[in-house]
Amino acid sequence: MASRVRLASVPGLVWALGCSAVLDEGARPVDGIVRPVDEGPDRPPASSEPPVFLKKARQLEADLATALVLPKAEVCRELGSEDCVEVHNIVLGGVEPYSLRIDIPLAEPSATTPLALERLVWGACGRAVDRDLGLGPVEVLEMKADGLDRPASARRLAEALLHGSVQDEQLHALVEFGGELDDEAWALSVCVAVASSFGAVFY
Amino acid sequence: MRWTWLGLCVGLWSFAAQAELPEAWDPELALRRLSLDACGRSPTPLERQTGITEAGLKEVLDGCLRSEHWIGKDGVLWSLAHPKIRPLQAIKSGEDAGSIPLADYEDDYNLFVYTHFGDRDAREVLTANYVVRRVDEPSTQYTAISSSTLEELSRGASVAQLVQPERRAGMLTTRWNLASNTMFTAIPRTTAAQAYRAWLGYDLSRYEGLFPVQGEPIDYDAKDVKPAACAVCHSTLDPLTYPFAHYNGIGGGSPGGVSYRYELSRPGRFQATDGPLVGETPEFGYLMGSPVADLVEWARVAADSEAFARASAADLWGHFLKRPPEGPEFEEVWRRFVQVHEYRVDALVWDIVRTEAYGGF
Repeated sequence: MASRVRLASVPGLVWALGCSAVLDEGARPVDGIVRPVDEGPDRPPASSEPPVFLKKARQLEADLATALVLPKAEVCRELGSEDCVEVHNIVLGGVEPYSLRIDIPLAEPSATTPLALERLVWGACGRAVDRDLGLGPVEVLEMKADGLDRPASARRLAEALLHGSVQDEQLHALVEFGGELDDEAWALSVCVAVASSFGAVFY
Repeated sequence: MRWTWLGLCVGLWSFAAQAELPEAWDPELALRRLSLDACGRSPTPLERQTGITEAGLKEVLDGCLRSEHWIGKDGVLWSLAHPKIRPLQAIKSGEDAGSIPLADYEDDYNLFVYTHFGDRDAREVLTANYVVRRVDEPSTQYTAISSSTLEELSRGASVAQLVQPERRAGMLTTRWNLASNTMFTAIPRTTAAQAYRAWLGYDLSRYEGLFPVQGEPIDYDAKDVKPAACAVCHSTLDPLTYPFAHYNGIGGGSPGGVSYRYELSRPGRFQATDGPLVGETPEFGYLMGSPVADLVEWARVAADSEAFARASAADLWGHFLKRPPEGPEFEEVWRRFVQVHEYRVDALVWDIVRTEAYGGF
C-alpha cells in the first residue's frame, strides 16, 4: 500500500508540525507572551546541554502502540516477520551487551537512525490504517457515512501521537493537506507525518 | 516542651528530606520526561491530569519505579549494570547457556537490581553476603537468600555461588566476576581495576584514582612492574589487588584448587608460573590510601566512600540527563543520596527529577 501513496507534500507537513513542536519545547507562553528560554545572565545555567532527547526504540514502540492501539508485537515487522525494534535496536539507541558487547547506547544518532525511525513509523501507521479502513475494528480514525471524517481523524491522530492537545494551525495543515489523495493514502500520510514529527520523536 | 522539640526536629527533618524546587521547573515537562525515562512510555491521559502537581508527579514516579521497565530483566536498572558486569553469552551458564558455560551473570544482575530499588541500601551491592533469586512471571520479583555453599550446589554445579558466605562481598565475589575477570591469574589486577572503575568511577588506564602506597609495587608475581613508568600505576593497583588474590577464578596453579572459592593460601599454588615470591602475596591491601585487611573490608571501605556515592549517583544522573554529571545540582544530589536518603536509589531518582537540569525550562 505504501508504494501507492504520493507523499510530495509530507516534508512540508513535517516541517509545519516540527516548527510548532519546537516552539512548544523551546519557549513557554506565560500570560500569553512567548518568552525565550534563557531570560538573562543572572546565574549559571543548570545545564549546558539542550534539554531535548530522542526517544529510544522501545520508547517509540510503546508510544506508537498506545497511540495507534496496536499490540507491541505488531507495531512493525521487517519483511513481515522480524521485530523492527530488534532489527534496528542499536541505531535507535538500544544496547546489545550479551553478544555484541555494546553496553551503552551510541553517543550520537547514526547516519541510519532517521531511516530506521521511518521504518518503524511506516510499519505502525500502515498497520493501523489497514486495520481501520479494512476489516478490523476502527480504533483511531473517525468515519462518517460517506467515508473518512478527515478533520476528526486528523485531530484524533495528532492528539494520540503528540500526547495531548494540538494547536489549531497544526490541525489545519493536516486537514488541508492532500485533497487529491484517497482516504487511505491521506490517512497514512498524515499518520506518518505526525508520528515522525519533532513532538512525537523527541522529548 | 518535649513535644515542641519533637515538632522542631520533624520540621528540620522535613526540610532536609525535601529540597526546594527550582524556580524554573516545569511539572509537565518533568512528567513527560520521567514517564519516558522511568516507565518507558509517554504519560497516560490520567497521569497528565494527576501529574501536574508535585505530589501527583511523585505518585507517577513511584509507579514507574515498580514497573517492569524499571526493575524487570533488561529494564533500566538491569541496563545500568551492563558496563559493570560485562556479560558474555558465550560463557554463560544456567538458562540460555553459551557454548562454554562457566558462570551465570544473571545472579549479578539480580543483586544489582535488588539493591537499587525499594527501601534498600545501595551499598549492599558490594557488601551483601546473600544471593538474589528472580522470578519473571507474572511480574518480576526478587528475593534475597542467605544460602550456604551446599544449598548453592543444589542449584547446579555450573551456576552455584561457591564463595563461603562469610567471605562474600557482593558483586566482587560472584562466580561471574571471578570467572570473567580473575580467570587463571595469580594476582588478578584486571579484577581489581574493573571493580575500581565500575563501582568507584576510577579508571586507572586514564590515571584516575591514583593513591600510591609507599614501598609498592613489590612485584610478588615477577611481572617486572617496578620501573618508574610502570610503578606510576602499579603502586596503586597492586596493593588494591592483593585482597582479590585469595579468591579462585576458573583455575590455575598447581595443585589446582576449587574454582570460585575463597582460599587463603591460593597465591602459593602459582609459584611454578609466577615465581617464588608469589606465595607471600598478602591478603591485606590498600584502597584509596586506606589499609584494608581483606576483600570484605575492601568492599566496606569502598561502599562507604564518597567515590561510591558519586559513581552511583552519576549512573542514575546519566540515565535521566543522557550525559555525565555536571554543576552544583549534581553535587547536591549525590550528597543528599548519602546524608539524607541513606543510599536509597528511589529517593535519589526523585531528587534528580526535581533538578532544574532535568525539569527546567
